[in-house]
Amino acid sequence: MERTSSDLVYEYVLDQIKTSELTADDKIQSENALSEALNVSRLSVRQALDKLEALGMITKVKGSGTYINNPKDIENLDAISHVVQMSNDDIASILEFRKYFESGNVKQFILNGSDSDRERLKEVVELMRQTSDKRDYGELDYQFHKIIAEGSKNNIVIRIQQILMTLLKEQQILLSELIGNAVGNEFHDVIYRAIDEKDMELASLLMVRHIEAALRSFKGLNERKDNGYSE
Amino acid sequence: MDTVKQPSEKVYDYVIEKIKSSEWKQGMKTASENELCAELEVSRVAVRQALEKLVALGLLVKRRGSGTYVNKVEAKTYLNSLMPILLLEGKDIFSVLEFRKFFEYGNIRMFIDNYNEELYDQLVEQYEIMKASVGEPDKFYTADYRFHSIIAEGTLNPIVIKINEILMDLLLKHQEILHHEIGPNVGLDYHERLLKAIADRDKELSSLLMLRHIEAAIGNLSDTLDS
Repeated sequence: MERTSSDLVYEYVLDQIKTSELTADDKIQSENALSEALNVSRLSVRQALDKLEALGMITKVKGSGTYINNPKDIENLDAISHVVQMSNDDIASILEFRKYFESGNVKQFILNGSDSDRERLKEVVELMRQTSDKRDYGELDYQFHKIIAEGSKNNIVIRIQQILMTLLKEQQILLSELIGNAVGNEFHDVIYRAIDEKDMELASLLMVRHIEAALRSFKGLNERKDNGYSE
Repeated sequence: MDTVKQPSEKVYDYVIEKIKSSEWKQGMKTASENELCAELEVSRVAVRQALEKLVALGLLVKRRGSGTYVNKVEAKTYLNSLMPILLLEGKDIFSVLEFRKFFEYGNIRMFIDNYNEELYDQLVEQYEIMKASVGEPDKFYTADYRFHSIIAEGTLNPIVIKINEILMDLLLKHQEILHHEIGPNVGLDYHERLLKAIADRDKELSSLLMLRHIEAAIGNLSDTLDS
């Protein structure tokens, strides 16, 4: 694809963000200044800024200018997650990725998690033990993994977790409904215990096994479906 | 936040709703700008802004001289929304490296699961380039990042590949600091040992070496930043 003048502006601003020349809350050059500096039309500048705005990188403030967003204000693109067509392969790839991702998260949780993170995790594990409602269980399962990611205190981890879970949330709840509490409970309990004992190696290995078990159940479900068994 | 919807938001929500309800299906042409103006009683500027946004997000695609079409929104497309967030969060180079520790640890294991001779040869090639270009940071680091990207590609996992793409782009932009503070020895030493372990398909050793590799980089970086 040929590069248009608006691509030029887009990459120019993006590079300034990548090199941290522009950071959160900074005001960027005016449309006029950009159009002069890059020798392109105002229309091209506007198109590029619209694109950056759509991607959540900048905000135009009427009568004031255009600013770089603060990452904490970027909303997840929830509206879009509803129109994403997830194939079984997509779900399997996400689970495959989560195997090592979450095993790293649990280590970072042990290192960096606060008392209140551990407290929250404990509560969720206890609620999981008590609930017999499958939908509730699925929601708690989702919370369990979210708290671990948040306790890592690593923004990159938290963001990736958020986005993947937005994509996976419905499937995750469905999966944990289908697989049932038995598999989940067993793992969540022992993972929590290993975290409580600050045993990083054990906690991360159990996490790998937990996601592997989920992946196997997921693949098993699909095979059964493919073989024509109805649910 | 305004509680009153901006005209362009009205258009945006309208299109999302059409796609969500499958009234507009993948590959279908959307209503024209004129039709949208009339239907929603908004200006053309508002329509154009909303469409521009939807194109940027990958929900619609414009074909010159033909019109606007509904794109297939795959998980991969959605992952593009990671890009701005990671770019803005990625200022903190330590959290990127800390994340990479476990990311790369998993990648090399998946790489060996899907071992492929051709990709192994490409790894060797990049290592040779690194060896030959110690005094040329640009060349050296391009090969260094290529090395890690080949491993990511060898996982055959689209999530890994996408995240790697974004991270490498980010790291390349920080290359100067990284080069200055970490130096070439960490890369050369570990890459050589990694190649041996990968050739033996030794998953445990490769992944442990990878972990140590990134840890060594983090160590060097924090040492110099402390002093």
